Amino acid sequence: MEIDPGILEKLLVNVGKPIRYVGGEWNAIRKNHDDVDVKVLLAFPDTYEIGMSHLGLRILYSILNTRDDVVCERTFMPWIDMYDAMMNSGIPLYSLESRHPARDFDILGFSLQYELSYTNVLAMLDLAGIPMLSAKRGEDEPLVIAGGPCVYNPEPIADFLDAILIGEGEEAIGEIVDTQKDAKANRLSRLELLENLARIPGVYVPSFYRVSYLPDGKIKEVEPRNPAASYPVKKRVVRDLSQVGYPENVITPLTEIVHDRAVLEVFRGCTRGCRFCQAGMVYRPVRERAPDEVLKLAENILKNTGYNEISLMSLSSADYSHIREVSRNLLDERKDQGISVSLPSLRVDSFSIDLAKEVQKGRRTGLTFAPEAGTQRLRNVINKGVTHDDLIHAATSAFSEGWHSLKLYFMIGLPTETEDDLKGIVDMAKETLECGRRELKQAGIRKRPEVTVSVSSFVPKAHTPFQWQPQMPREELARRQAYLKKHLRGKGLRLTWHDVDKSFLEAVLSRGSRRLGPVIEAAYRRGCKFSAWDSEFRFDKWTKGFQSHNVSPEFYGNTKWEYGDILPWDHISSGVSKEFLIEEANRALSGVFTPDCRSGRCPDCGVCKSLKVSPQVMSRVRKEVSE
Amino acid sequence: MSAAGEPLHDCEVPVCTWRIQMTKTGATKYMSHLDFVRTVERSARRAELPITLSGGFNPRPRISFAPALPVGVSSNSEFVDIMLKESVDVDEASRKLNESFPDGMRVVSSRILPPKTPALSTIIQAAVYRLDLHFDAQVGLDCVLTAIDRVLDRDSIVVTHVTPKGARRRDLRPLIYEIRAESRDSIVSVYATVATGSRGNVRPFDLAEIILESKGIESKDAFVDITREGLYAFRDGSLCLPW
Repeated sequence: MEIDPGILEKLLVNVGKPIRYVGGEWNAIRKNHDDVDVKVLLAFPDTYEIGMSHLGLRILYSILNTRDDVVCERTFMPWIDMYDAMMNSGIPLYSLESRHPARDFDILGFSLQYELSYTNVLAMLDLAGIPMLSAKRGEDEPLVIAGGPCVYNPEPIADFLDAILIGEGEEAIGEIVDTQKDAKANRLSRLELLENLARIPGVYVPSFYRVSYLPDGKIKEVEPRNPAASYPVKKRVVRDLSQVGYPENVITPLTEIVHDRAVLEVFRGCTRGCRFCQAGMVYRPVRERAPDEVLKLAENILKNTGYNEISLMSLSSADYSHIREVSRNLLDERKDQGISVSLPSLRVDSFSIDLAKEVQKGRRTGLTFAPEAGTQRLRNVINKGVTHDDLIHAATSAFSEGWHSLKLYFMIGLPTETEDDLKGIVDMAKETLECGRRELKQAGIRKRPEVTVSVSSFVPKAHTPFQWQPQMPREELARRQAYLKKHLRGKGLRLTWHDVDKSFLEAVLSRGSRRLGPVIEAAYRRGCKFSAWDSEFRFDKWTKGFQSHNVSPEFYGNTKWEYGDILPWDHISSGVSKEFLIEEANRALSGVFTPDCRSGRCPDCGVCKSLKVSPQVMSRVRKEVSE
Repeated sequence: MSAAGEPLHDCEVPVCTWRIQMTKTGATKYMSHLDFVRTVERSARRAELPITLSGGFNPRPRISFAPALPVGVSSNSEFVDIMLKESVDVDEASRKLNESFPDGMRVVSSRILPPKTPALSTIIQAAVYRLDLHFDAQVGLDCVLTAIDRVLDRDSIVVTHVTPKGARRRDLRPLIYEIRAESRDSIVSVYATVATGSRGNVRPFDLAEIILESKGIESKDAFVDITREGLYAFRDGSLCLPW
């Protein structure tokens, strides 16, 4: 049964931005639910504007709807006014396309992009009228699954999910749907369905594992208790991106979303090997798309959406072997259509500045560099291959090309950080500003240079060389922020920072075990929703959640763990070996650089061997062919 | 200033203005005016119409609009001007645009006008809104007609709008030209002709509240579904469509 349109209309006139709750977008797909075998609802636990900007959702939506036997629809977390209105008038969470209640779908698939969205997952289940705990769900209830970067440590949210896909979904989602279809046709029990799902490579069924603890709270053992459960669960990875399809009939929203442009993933994975970066570890290996494929896709996507801007996306777009050729081609071919190209995540070098200059033409919209740390010593620790000279060269050429506003991105609280490193941040910022004054004056540009320093706090993440490291205590992080606030003052300097309580909670949830499940539930029951939003973050309510379940957040956030410890996520494998992570952790402490495997030198991270894949770098492919 | 680069484009010269009358109904009634502008631009691009681009670093399609429609109000008669760099067959262009519009947006009628036609924002001066009143309790046509008479009998109707710049008081009475009502099934439809655009603006939600209040009906007890049925220019003292 669809949601009563009359009741919904009455709610919509009284909430902010009702367009987020009505669907009807260009390229959204409508199918008759009676004509399909499996109904999938993709659920994003944040607002429409954020969820619709997420590429993974678009990819899965397109892959699933290509099948005639499947319907795939979308739902997002309603903003608080709408959430309360729905709760009060008995309107359950519904899909945007057909306005069917979430409960009527076979599969409810959550995208877990950041830990602070966990209470929204519970809020959405609650609004849907689906029991929050997996153990309490009945035979006829939808299967609740999840995927996304957070699932590399799925333990804090494991109690609420029936099954979790570790890794890339393009191929596995079809297998999951087939398994569900088969279970429906053969009237299998929920347990049998879960067993069949657990047999799919990459699928983790949390209820099939028993976790036991040591007296100090560390993990004693994670034991598979069902023959269908594998140990470890290895992530799924797509060997060749060109073989799995890419969404060309992309939904074009009726309202402005966060990344309101066509998005084209030019490659997946990044092997620069920054030691704090989870994405750089878990999305290995690097797989590039061929330039002609990129151009063909770009043409179709622009034509099908009517967007006039396309973003060539990846974890480090200037690293794409054909970046210059592809962006030039895109701009030249469409000169008369007013198409622009954007390149997120540029490097700190003059190649990147040249690129930015080409794609931004006359529009100097601002540039961001990420040196991450203030001294060469600390940059060696984190394996960030950027030098002081790189930054100054990049800044010099940026200012002389007419940019007057630069943003520098740093992290504080990194392992081994001292006051020297903080001073390094201040010095770099001031030197960059000075360089701006000089260059702008020389170029005859009468504008004041501006340098914005954005500092986030280090959060140790699972499956990185820093996974054993504690986050610094909040008081210490606050002291370091205060140092920067004191010293980064003056004309042309701006500083932005992150809330330390939020970063702390992020660390706790990133390194947490299943003992955090009840805490997340308690936080939700106390009203924590949209915790990733500064305006809605209520640390006191979270604190009460920890207290009521006798869980020490400091144990997860601020404790150094030993290499020999069993970590809460050790039964999940990203393909990168623990030996490599330990080796990298040791190299970090002695400040030894590990090169990118794009260079041809294999640092032996283990991913290719473990997952039987290999890096796909187009320049190298071509060379091999010509040789 | 050479360092800021050369503009990508000079402003292109249109050969004609294609003025379209279109609907904005269904889900699209919840779009804000900015959402509407973006969606028309994208639809026109999908339809591959020969739109003129503005000049500058960030060329925009030259499309202009009638006074904004409030969020949540449907329209059966929006007007949009698309400046074209070559002339088109009106039927063919309408077909292409309709195929590229999301559900709820549809070309009703359109004409090719000379390139220097006065802008919609200057000529549009009146709108007709249909307010469909759905009552929870039994409130009939007679009751609404009495309410309308009371509103029209007033000398002034001062409303206070809270804006970011502070409260602003305005008299709406001179901006209300005509109100009539009819009933079909259990719904009473009020048709109101009011000023919009350069002569001042009556917000249809305000109008609904004023009518309901004059009979002591709390606006929260009624659900009001509003549709803009017409946008007009004044010519020789009477209303006419902006062709």
